[in-house]
Amino acid sequence: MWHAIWLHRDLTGVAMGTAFGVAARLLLLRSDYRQYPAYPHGRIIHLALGLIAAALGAVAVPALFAKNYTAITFLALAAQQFREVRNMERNTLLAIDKQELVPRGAAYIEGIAVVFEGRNYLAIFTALLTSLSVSLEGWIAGLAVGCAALAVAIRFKQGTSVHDIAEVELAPVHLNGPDLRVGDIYMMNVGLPEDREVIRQQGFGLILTPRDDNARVSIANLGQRQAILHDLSTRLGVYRDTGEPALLPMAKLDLRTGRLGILLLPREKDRDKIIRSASKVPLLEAIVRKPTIANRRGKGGRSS
Amino acid sequence: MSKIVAVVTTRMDGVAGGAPIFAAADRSQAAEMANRIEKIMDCMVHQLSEEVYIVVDHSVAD
Repeated sequence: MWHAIWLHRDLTGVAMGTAFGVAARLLLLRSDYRQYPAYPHGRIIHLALGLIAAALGAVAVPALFAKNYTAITFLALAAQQFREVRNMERNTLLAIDKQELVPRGAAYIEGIAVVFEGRNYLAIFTALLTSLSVSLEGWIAGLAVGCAALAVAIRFKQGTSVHDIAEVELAPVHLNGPDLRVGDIYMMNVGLPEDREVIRQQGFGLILTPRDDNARVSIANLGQRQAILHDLSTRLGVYRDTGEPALLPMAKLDLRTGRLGILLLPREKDRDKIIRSASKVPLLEAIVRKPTIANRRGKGGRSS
Repeated sequence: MSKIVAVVTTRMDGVAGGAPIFAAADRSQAAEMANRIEKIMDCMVHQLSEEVYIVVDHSVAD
């Protein structure tokens, strides 16, 4: 049977394309500390959709070779389907977000939803390229192109993190009467002595110093700030409950310098872990701005 | 914009206005009352001065 499959180039292309496409989706589907997608049912949904995406991409090539041009409309159908995926993820996350002690925020949710859609397209492209190479050059070329496409897909997986745009350092939490400061950045007014005592004991301060003017704009974004607070609370735990509105992790800007002060109430109090967690918070795609490019004279400003 | 849901004070002549005002006998009682209102209303207590606490609902801002 295997012999027959290798002889039949179209079938080989579809099989290899689908396999590489699913592999790409599998590699990009990580369930890490955020526990999203929730194991195992969330994964099943996305693996199934990944399989459909890969199959569509792989089948398109032989269909086009057979001059069946309507096949391309199936890709459009797939695109429609994956926009649905984005909506599905957004709705689920928004619904869950109301129950979070420290919410993700709309910007973070939008970012996650976009990634889910984008990764399905990566699965399609991987399948399409693999299938095309098999059809043109044979299965060895397909194998090579498939592996290369997987490498590119893995490269796409690694986004930028806070560490790339800002210096993260610990800062002392000061309480002067009701005024709460992290380093020299004013955070909020804490009225009750009990709350002040809890913050004094549990509170940790962080200061994020932007590395350049672009970073200053990105880090000031409210969505990015909420994402940082949510991620840190997920990784380090959070000393908070309903009916304790004063125990709120928060981030405030030092307007003069553009530095971001963060007040945390972590369960995990290892200083290295806190700094490492803050450095690794993903930078949301939607909030990155490059004002310095726009303001630069010459072609850089024009092209952006 | 946030909303003041209550004021707790030991100096009744220092406050007036639309929110409910609670009079306390001394500073420790004022802090205790403010604490209870915080837990009941799930609203944050802020201190304006030694004698005046305001209870603020920040969720109205969203």
